[in-house]
Amino acid sequence: MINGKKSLTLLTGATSGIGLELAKRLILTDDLVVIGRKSEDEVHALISDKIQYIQTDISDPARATEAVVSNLNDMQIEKIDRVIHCAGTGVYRSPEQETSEEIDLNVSVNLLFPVLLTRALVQQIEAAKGKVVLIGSVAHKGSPNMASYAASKAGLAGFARSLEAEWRGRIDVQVIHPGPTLTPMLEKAGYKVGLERHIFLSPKVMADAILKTIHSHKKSATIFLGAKIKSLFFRKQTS
Amino acid sequence: MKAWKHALITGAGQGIGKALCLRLLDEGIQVTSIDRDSINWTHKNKDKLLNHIQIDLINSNSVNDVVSRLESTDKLDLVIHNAGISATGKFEDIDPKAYENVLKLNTLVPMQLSAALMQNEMFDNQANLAFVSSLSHATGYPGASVYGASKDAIAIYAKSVRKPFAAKGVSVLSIFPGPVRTDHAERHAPEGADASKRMLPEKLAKRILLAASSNKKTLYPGAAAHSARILGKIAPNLMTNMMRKIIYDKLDRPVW
Repeated sequence: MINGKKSLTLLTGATSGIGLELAKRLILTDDLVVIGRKSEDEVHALISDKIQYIQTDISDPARATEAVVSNLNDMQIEKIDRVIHCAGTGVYRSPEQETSEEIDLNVSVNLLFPVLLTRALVQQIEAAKGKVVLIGSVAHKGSPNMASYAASKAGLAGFARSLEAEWRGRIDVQVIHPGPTLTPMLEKAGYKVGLERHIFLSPKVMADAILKTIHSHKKSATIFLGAKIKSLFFRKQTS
Repeated sequence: MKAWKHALITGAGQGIGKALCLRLLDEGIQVTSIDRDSINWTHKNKDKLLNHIQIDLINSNSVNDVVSRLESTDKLDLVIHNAGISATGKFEDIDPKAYENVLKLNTLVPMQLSAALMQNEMFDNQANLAFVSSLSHATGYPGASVYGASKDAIAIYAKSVRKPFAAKGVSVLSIFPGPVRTDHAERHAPEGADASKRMLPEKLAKRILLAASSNKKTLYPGAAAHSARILGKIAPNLMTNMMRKIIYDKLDRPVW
């Protein structure tokens, strides 16, 4: 263990949006290994210098997986209590305008990387009787203006459903689908937020709700309106 | 059956793809077939009407290659994304490279090719576009979680593009076949599994073309597929557990 805390969590997508808020909360209770593309200094400044950082580009999932495994070996980490796959990407446009590169990036980051990373870390997760948490999206049921993104998230949900049945009693598998959240991904995806920003969740509120769900035994959960209503009533605690 | 002029069928070398091609050739329809292998079946109209592109769709740049090969041909009014592979076994027993290939061929390429055909205006007016997903979309698939994921993904892609593509004159069909009597199913089934319960590829091909002809949105071919779909809707956990019992617990070897 790195800092001698109770459990060790590996988190992807921790350098912005929901993942960043999750990281800030997890570092208070867990040893935290973070995977990202930004520089180590930047990430330490964003989250905490107590994290262990693995810098790699997950748009190349096979190479990134290798990098994570070899870094974990160097850190002598043999048990992982939780792997949280939070990294995600998407483009907001009509399906006939999606380019091959954009579609490839969505599948690589949102689906292939979680699959390959989970495959590579089975031993370490099982050694801790750990848990795999996949962050999906409410779009997993389909979205005409984010078709390949929706597909990749549907794949992730399907992966979770089958693997959960396969690993029951050995390793927990959970998928959590966040509703619309005001994150930098929205802007990157080219989505212009209008009046509907009022029903969107803040990454902080979302991260709180996700953490609560991670500590539950739910196999799958969607986080949106319930968390929004709570945040309106209990503003001080959540924002 | 609709009088299509030019069809594109992927995975045409055997199984469902072969059965689709044979039926279209029967009707005198021009077919462009894609497969990583050459075509080793025959048909009386093959020389006249079949144009085969031998290419492994898993290779990077395959989509661009296919599009450039299609540039000199007539516009397409029927496209069926049928090519697919599986990887069955315990999740941790399967080579990660196989997972990459499954997601590329079953999910990535059909999306890229569909979008590229749209961008290059290669669809004729009132065209049909079909995606072969799997009945596992209704149930989950312990023992083939990544295959299941790939088929869930393509099912949701089909659902997502249905309206925007319809506005451009392309009608989208999603197909959810249960077990089909193909070499592919044989390879992945546990030893001694009863093949007689699997649907014949010729029968499935007929149903697919009929469904596309009438611009249907979804096809669950056969009574078993229908019941599995309904059970999957009302009792998803029960169905996934059943799949674990009838498939995962009987796995005798990993296959990819």
